[in-house]
Amino acid sequence: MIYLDDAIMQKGKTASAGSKMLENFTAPIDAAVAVRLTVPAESIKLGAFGLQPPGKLPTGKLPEDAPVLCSDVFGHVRIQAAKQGLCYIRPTYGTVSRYGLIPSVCSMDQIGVVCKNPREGFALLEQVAGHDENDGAMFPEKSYSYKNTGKPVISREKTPYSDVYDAVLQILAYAEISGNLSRYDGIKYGFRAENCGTLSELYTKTRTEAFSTEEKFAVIMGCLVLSQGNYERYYEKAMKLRRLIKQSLSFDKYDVLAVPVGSPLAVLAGLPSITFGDTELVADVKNENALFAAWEGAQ
Amino acid sequence: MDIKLYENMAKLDLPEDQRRELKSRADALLQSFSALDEIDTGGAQPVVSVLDTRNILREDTPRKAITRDELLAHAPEQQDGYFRVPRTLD
Repeated sequence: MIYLDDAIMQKGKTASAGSKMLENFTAPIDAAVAVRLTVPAESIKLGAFGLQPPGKLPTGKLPEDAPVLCSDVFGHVRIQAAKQGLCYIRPTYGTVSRYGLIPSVCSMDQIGVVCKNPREGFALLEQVAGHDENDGAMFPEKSYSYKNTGKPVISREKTPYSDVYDAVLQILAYAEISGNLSRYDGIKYGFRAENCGTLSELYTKTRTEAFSTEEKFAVIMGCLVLSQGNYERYYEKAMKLRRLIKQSLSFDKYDVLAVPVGSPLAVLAGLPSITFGDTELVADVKNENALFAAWEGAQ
Repeated sequence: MDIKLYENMAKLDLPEDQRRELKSRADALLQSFSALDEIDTGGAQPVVSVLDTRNILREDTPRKAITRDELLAHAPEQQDGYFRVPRTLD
């Protein structure tokens, strides 16, 4: 059995992405990952685990018995997995198709897997990873084989800019969320408020009634960081810092970085990561087919 | 921050107690963002995508897509093959 988060579409099933805005939304398509799974359709279950804006309380309990495919930008799933003694593998951005994933933070959204151990997780990722023409931000490789690369070299490093990872992540995420949530207008799909006299009232009442407090906060902050007079100070600055953060990760001397669970470092840099207990490992991607060093026995 | 300005941009109209709560959270967050002002990013180019962006082209040939009826079936209100909305002019 495999759980798919309710932000990943399964044709004919509810795809709410944890929001009242989409509580009665039935998926019109199958997500690429749902199509690629080789298990029988009746073994694929619907769950609600991921896609929450930053700030929201951590997700509910994850199932202990089966892997879960879900996107985790903000670390809620990683942290919950760690608390339950499970792993979360966030593959390299661009290796798993997001076609059919309800978008949250497009430059960071990537479907990963909650699993009992890396062996189980990587086996599942091998099924679903690989290029898909329906996702515009992917590496060209058609498939991936996740293998051990041998023993890592260990050293201690201070990563620069770590004091502002959270601020950079939040500014970029709020900006992108506010753009992505602009599609929820009460017209094309999802919730619609009643008794609206004008189109403008329909937009406002629909969004006010259906968005959660966290979603409202995210779109307000997104509008703020993107608006005239604030754009350069917040959004553009965060995009430039993202460049510096990405460049600061020179893997010349080491293969893997160990950071606290939920660190936005891997997400900002587009690198794969995996949680083990209270530690998150961020790996180099020089060899895209061999992402992680010998972790299989390390749990 | 003038939260009503951004509510209006975001097409929201918060109840007063929620407005106070979110304004307070936003003010605290903006205070924490001020740490960014201290950092000189020099000539760093903004990251729009962590991947090298490239155009993806394909032959312009018809292929199976979601039909109009399937799309409209998800709309809260539709009529004669169109989305139905309230009047658009005040």
